[in-house]
Amino acid sequence: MNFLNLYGLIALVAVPLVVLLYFLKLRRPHVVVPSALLWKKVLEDMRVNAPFQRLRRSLLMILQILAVAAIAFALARPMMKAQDPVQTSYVVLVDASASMNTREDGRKTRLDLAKASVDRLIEGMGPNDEMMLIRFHASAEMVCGFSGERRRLKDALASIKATDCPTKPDPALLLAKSVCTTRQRPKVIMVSDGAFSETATTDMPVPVECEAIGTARPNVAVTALDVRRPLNDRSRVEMFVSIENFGSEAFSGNLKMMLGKEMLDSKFVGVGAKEVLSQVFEARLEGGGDVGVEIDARDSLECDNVAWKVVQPPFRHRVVVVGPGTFFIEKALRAFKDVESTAVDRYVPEVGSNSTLVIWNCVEKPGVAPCHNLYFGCAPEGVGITVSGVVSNPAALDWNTTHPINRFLDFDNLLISSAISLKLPEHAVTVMRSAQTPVVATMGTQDGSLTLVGFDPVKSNWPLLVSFPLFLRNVLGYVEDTEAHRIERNVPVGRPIVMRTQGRAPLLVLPSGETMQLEKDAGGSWSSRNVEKCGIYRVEFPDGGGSVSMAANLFDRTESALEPAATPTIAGKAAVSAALDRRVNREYWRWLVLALVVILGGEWILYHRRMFV
Amino acid sequence: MAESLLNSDVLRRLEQLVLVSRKLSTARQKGERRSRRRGTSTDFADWRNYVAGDDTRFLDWKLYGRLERLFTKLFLEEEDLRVTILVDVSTSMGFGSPAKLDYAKKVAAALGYLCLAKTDSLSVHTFGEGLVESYGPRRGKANAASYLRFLSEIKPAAGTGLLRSFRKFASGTRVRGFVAVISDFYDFDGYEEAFRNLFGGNFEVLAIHVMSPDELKPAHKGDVRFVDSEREVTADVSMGRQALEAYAKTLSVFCNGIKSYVNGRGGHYLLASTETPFDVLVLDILRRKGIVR
Repeated sequence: MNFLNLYGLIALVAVPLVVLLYFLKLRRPHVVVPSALLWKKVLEDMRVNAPFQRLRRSLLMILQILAVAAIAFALARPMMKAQDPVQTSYVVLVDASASMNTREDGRKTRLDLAKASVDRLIEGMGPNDEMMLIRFHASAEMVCGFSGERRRLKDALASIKATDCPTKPDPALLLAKSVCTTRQRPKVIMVSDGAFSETATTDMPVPVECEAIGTARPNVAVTALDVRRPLNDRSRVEMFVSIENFGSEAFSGNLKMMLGKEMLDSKFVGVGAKEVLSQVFEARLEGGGDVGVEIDARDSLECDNVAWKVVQPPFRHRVVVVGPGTFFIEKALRAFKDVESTAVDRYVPEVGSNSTLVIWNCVEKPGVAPCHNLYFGCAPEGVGITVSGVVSNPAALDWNTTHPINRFLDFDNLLISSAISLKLPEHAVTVMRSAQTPVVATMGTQDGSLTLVGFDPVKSNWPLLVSFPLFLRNVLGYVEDTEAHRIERNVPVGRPIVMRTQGRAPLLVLPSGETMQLEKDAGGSWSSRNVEKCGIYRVEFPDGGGSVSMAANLFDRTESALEPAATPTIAGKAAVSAALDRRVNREYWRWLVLALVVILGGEWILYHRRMFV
Repeated sequence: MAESLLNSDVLRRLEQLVLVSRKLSTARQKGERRSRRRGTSTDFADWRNYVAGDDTRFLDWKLYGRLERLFTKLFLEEEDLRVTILVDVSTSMGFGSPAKLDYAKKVAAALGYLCLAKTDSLSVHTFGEGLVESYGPRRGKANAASYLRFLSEIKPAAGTGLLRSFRKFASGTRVRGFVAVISDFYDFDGYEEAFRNLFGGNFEVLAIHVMSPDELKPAHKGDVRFVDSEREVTADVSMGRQALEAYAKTLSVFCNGIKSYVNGRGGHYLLASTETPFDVLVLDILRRKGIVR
């Protein structure tokens, strides 16, 4: 109980006035009796003439005092917290991202605190209110449709589990936006620690209220991990790790390089407050494996203390060189230890089917092998490429230095006597061009890629330049990368695992050891639900088809920072701080006025009864 | 008029009653009542030894013949009973339904009639602040009509002065006897001093305390100002259970006070509600109390 206008209580000073007036105005009916002798004695005995004795028996005056008190309290506008009588449709967005796994001081996770807040909100719902629960992280999922049943809502709330996913509120906001339009009085409440970037969703029909959960906590996280095989020794791996300390105190501890459950190397590292540390591990790994890194830190968030990469065995190139005058090409390929090259005059499909790269050198009407293709001085037909003549002495004017096949290349000294004039389809990427025509280009095919070089190397000084073997190495690396990414081995947490394979449904083994069947999506691929936990996933193909491993990592600085934002920017605006106690101030002065009317009615009846005694 | 106070049936029944009193008249006037004093009636009472000077006519010669000693025969004295009825005619007696004064008149009529019927000497005084009117002394049934007429013509007077009234009565009456006081005894100066005058005059007192049902059990409610009918006295009372209980207690103390005072001095006290029929009071209650027989 509280008062909106405490000054209204000043009216209580009227109570003594009522008492005073009562003494002044009391008009007793005169009753003539034979003698007042006995009544005088009665009065002496009772002392009823004492003021308070008189007051005690004066119902009318008590009623008047009550009436004055009722007026005074009504003027003071008493109010109490009560449930809002108007129906409200709550759309509650519960953050289940990785940062919500953070353990707070009470050892409860932020998600536990968020659930407790929503639970309070459910308890405070009015009889006409309804609520929808949406769990969100990298994606959004409706866990309970609009319902007014507390039990159902609480069960749905209890079913919300935390994930290791980054926070992307947009899908949840879009979902909330769509359902808000169907309700008269919607309220969108986001229960989150606010560990996310500004959202892209705008034009929300109602302001999004945010219940900030959690406090800033120290954390050390692996924010980047890359594992590569050095070019000079494909039997070794180099692991590049970035560790960031988000806390306000320096961290020191062991950093371990793991191969599966086996520790390959360990370093004792120290990271200053708010600093980033990069470390490199090297290890021999002739085959493939799950390579990871682990920080020996006991901080508030565990899932970002470990990161994994799936490393495949070294790639073996099988190259077929087709056409005449391939001396320089074969010579350059022989310099690469991981390349098995074969030179043929004519392309035979049986040869090409086992190859990783087919090099077509000045072949008249070259074909397209079902792998990667490199063309020198010729171009295939039927893939949208048109050869419109020959260009003399084309000079290299522009080249894309960021393209993988242009790494470390410089075409300044390249002299070309003649080149074919190429007209490329729109999806082709020009890597180097002259003033008249694209000279080097690349484009993808269903089974691999096409790389076009519009001149015969022999009709240029390129074989004599260092850029020539480097170019071939880049093409081989491009092929290797493309093959390596044909199956995505390192997936961001929060996205589904998608496999393109024939036959029966593959089985997905989760990091926890649980298994689930992949399901066929609309595109014909096998896909899982979103990957929600960091770690190594394994897809097992049926009928002895083997298995592939995949690593899911967080690598999200915003998520690992563990700094809650009280009013994050949502839908382009700073979120309104939500009060999960949904009770509103309800004034009760009307009831006091009603009490006043009843009191006055009672006084009227009492007065008239006395008149007729 | 007499019929309005006493009907024939009551009159007939009253004629069969006699007022019992220990106080006979001191006027030595012969009456029809035996006295404890020895006298000259025909009723033998006792013997005593003869002493010189005794009337020799009352010597018991037969006893002398047997005992050879002289004894004088004693006879009961027959004396007159002087009955006085004091009727309160103050304003307060005019209240009630029926009015207490009317009730008092009927009681006085009944008592007076049975006295006249037994040839007792009857005097009636009305009093308010002092003695107002007087009747008698008269004796004999022949005065019944004038007596009842006197009563019927009584009108309420002003205030109540028990002391002044009783003192005046006692000082002006040398003949002792039976005094019946019919009153509500509402006197702010009290009743004790007034009664002391009666008992001091050696009167046998019968106090008939007349009260109306409204006085015995008030039915007022709410905040009331009671105004005294005789004096400029008011009492502001908030009627309620507690006030009624206090009134009942006060009334009881008041009545019991008169009763104990009167009874303690050899008098009689009788609380009479005007609800009680006066003939029941006289013919039944007074008889049971031994005041009449």
